[in-house]
Amino acid sequence: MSEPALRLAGIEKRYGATIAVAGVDLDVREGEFVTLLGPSGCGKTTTLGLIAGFFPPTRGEIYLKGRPVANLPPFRRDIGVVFQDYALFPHMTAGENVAFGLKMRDLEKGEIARRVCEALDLVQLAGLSERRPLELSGGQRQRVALARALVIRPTVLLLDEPLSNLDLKLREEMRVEIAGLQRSLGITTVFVTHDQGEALVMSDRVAVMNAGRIEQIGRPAEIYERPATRFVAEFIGRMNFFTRDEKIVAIRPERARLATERPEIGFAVRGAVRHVLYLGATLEYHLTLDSGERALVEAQNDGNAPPFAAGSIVWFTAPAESCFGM
Amino acid sequence: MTAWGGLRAVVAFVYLFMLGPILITAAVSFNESNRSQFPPRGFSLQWWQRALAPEWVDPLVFSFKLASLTALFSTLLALPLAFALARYRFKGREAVMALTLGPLMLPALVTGVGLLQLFQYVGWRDYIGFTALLVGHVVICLPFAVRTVAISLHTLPPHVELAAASLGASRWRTLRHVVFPLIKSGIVAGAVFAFVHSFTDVNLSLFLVRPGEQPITVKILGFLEYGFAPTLAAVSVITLILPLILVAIVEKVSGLGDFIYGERKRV
Repeated sequence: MSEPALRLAGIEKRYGATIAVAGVDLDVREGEFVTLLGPSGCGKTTTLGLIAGFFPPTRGEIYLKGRPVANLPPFRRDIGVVFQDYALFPHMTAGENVAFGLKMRDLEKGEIARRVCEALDLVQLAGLSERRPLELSGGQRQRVALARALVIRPTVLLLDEPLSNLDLKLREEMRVEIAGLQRSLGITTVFVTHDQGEALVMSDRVAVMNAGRIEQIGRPAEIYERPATRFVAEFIGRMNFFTRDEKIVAIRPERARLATERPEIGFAVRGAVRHVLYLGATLEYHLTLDSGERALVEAQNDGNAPPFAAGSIVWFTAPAESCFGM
Repeated sequence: MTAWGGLRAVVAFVYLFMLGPILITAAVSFNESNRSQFPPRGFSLQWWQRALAPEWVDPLVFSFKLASLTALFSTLLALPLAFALARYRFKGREAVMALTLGPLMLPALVTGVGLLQLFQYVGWRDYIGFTALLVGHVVICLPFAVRTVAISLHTLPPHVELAAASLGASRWRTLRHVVFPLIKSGIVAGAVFAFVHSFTDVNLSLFLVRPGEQPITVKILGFLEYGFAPTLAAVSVITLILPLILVAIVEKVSGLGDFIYGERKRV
């Protein structure tokens, strides 16, 4: 296998007694889209800052295409960054913003103009290059920021929650668009988010972070179907946990069913329906089991009246292949 | 009276007391006799003629030079100071802050006396006059310049410097192409404040003048001891209008108003 585009080797970042990043190892292949996913304070944004070189790691080394860069300042690293607040230069037009990185590389005027034009075309902003950031919508600013980071053809593209300031519709569009752009350009990308939906849709691999560490890394389906730890199981999607014979059994709410009779095979526990929530596409049954544990079942809404009402005594069931122990 | 009526009355009152004396002074300068009467009797430009004689123009030019250099040096000193105070937490930061902003709290008169004594004790008596005035004015004008630059640094949009660095800009080029253009209006505002403050100062200047090297304010004060003549009214109007013209020009050129009257809209 060839050299990874980006390698983090045991990087650590401490601020006094506080540990922000507690030893992260990560290899990102050329052209791969890797997401750092986790709650706020898990160290994902600090990790991104370390890769970009905004501050040095307390320990560990960072390699870009095999070259150690932990001691290089950000302006010698060739890394494109898109910030959560876009960080556009307010005194420059969209075109000047995009041209900035090329000017800093002292390219000649003609080439700068050509590449700025290409980059703005790429993010579908052709014709808006004379606008200032203040005269652009949130989505357009986001595109300028993306073009500005891409135009320098960075070794690695870093995206720090770039979608979180957009409204829901636009966010869902941009997910697909950014992921598409990344694949067509084949640019190695590290994406930081707390939104599991974004992580699952956009990534080749997802690294779930917690308390400064990577808890699990894998393809989106692996992370969802086979969470390695209770934290991952709870953080991505929803999960029922039951204690059986001193072991923990975990079952996704959408893989469970309700039944009036105990089935002959598979997992089954009895309980009472507490609430039935009508969510449009789905129905949610909240149960209290005989053991006192709580459970959740998510069922497709087929248009008929919910078969179970609050107060019914039911069996919570799931096929054996949908249960995993932890 | 309605709330709006009350507000209008207050505003009218403020204007009356701000503009009233100025208008009266201006009117008096056109008196025909040498008695400072209001309303003026007759009309003549003779007092304006006298006001434009070297006796008055020299100190005006002196004040203008002094204020310009004060603005320049205050701003040059304010830039690194404001950067240090706004960006870094270092040992002795409190002390630097107190020293920088202190003169704001101290009556300029005290600073003047202090400087006079200092110049005498260390044997710089020969520098009393323009040089001592310049030092004194920089000391009392520095707080204004530091404050305005520091405020504009604080209102920089977050991450723009990191963005510039990630795009390949060294620290110097980040300063030049990103930070400086964004704090420019703060720097200009600080310089204008320093100029106006220096141009209108009398308290400090009183102690540091020497014959032939005195600003217009001290000259006016000296003249007042012999009584008030319409000449003085004319000089006062000139002294008042010069800084106003400057502020108006700077406002036109660099949008100072954005800085003084409210935060500029930023991304």
